[in-house]
Amino acid sequence: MKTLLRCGFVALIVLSVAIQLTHGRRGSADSDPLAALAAGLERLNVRTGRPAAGDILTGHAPSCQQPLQAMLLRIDGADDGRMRGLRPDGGAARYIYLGAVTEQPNRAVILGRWVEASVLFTVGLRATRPQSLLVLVVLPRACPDLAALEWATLSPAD
Amino acid sequence: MPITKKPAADFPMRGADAIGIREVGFWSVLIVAIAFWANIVRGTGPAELPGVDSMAAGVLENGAFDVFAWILVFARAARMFEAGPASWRRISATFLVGVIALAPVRLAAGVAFVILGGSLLWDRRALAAGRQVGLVLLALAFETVWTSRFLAQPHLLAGQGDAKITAFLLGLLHTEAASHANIVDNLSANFSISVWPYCASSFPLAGVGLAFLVMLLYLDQAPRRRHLVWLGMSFIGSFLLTEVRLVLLATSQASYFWWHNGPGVSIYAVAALALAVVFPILATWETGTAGTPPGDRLVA
Repeated sequence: MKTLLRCGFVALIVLSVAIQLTHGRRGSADSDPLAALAAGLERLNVRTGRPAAGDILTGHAPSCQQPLQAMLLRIDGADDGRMRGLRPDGGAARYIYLGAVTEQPNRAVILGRWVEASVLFTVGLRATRPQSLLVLVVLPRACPDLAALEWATLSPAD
Repeated sequence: MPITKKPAADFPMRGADAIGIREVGFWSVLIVAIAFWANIVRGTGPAELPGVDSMAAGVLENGAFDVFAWILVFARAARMFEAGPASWRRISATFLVGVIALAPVRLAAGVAFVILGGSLLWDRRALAAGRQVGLVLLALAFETVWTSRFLAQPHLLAGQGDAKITAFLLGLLHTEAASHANIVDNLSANFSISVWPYCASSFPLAGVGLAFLVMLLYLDQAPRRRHLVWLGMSFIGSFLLTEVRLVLLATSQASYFWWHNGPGVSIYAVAALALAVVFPILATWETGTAGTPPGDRLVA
């Protein structure tokens, strides 16, 4: 009986370690978010080149001769200084985070969405851990029709 | 007529093959400890197992006092009970906490701590060391819940208050600043910071409470009601330290990087650690002077 109980305790420990390590490998954020952003732009039929300084992607849509710019920013605003690398005459901005597209970066709303998604991930109701990066796209003023594209796909809700 | 308390039926194991309660107690602590730390050190990458670096980072991020708490728990784990055979209730409780801790969610370990810690406080056969372990496990459970994502929203609300206080303090330092929601706008430096749940002044309070308890137990002091005053002062000290840190973070972008990602992180950690150590020492020092007069002093 004593040996049986000890075997039971050891089995619990081994099982516990195995489950924890397996869960850790469950789908989380993309390993290269910038590559994922470039792939997302390609899906919107926007051709992108190599990222410029400050990891700013420049892309061209077929319907517009002016380039657009896209970059990833931390949602806590810690690297907002990188926005200085954007064109000074930049046009309309679109902030995209977890399926929502806004013209202004409302940090409180974004943080609230991150908290909500994190809780859902923790309880298993969301497949992926929410990223702490939002997508900023600057559209050229000359091409207002670009605003109609499905920008939400660059940071999907799920 | 004296009231006699009828002992609860424990159904102790009989025979030479019975397992000892001390051994079962040690297994129960070992099982929940491994589940807790495995959850902390596990990797978050999509494909690879956690490396040594990320494991060490996970342990350090969790706080020095969690490590101290577990050292204290294991130092007492082998003498939590008086010698004798284990009861079936104790064995069942060990398996129960083990099964709960299997869930790959940190809160599951918290639930296991509550059950194990509560049972140690309640068990008639538990010795003083067992009750101390029970208290530490309950404090760890509280910290686990307090710092979980489920309470991120209240911490976010506390962060709004912190943002207001930070803007006010910057104003006292002749820096033009404003706050809205969780954002502190340093208008003079054209710089702003956002107070996340993990940076809010409410977030470290459970850790401060755990540190206070662990220090008391290291100093061989039983927690008493008069220690609550010092615990409250620890909370106030932690709150003030957080506000000072937020002011430093909001001063400029260079200052932000120095205090958030640079050497300032270590300075803040040392200051927090010093605060966590000082108040329990002051609390026990006060106890020592009031409770145990020196041998050459007479009490009138």
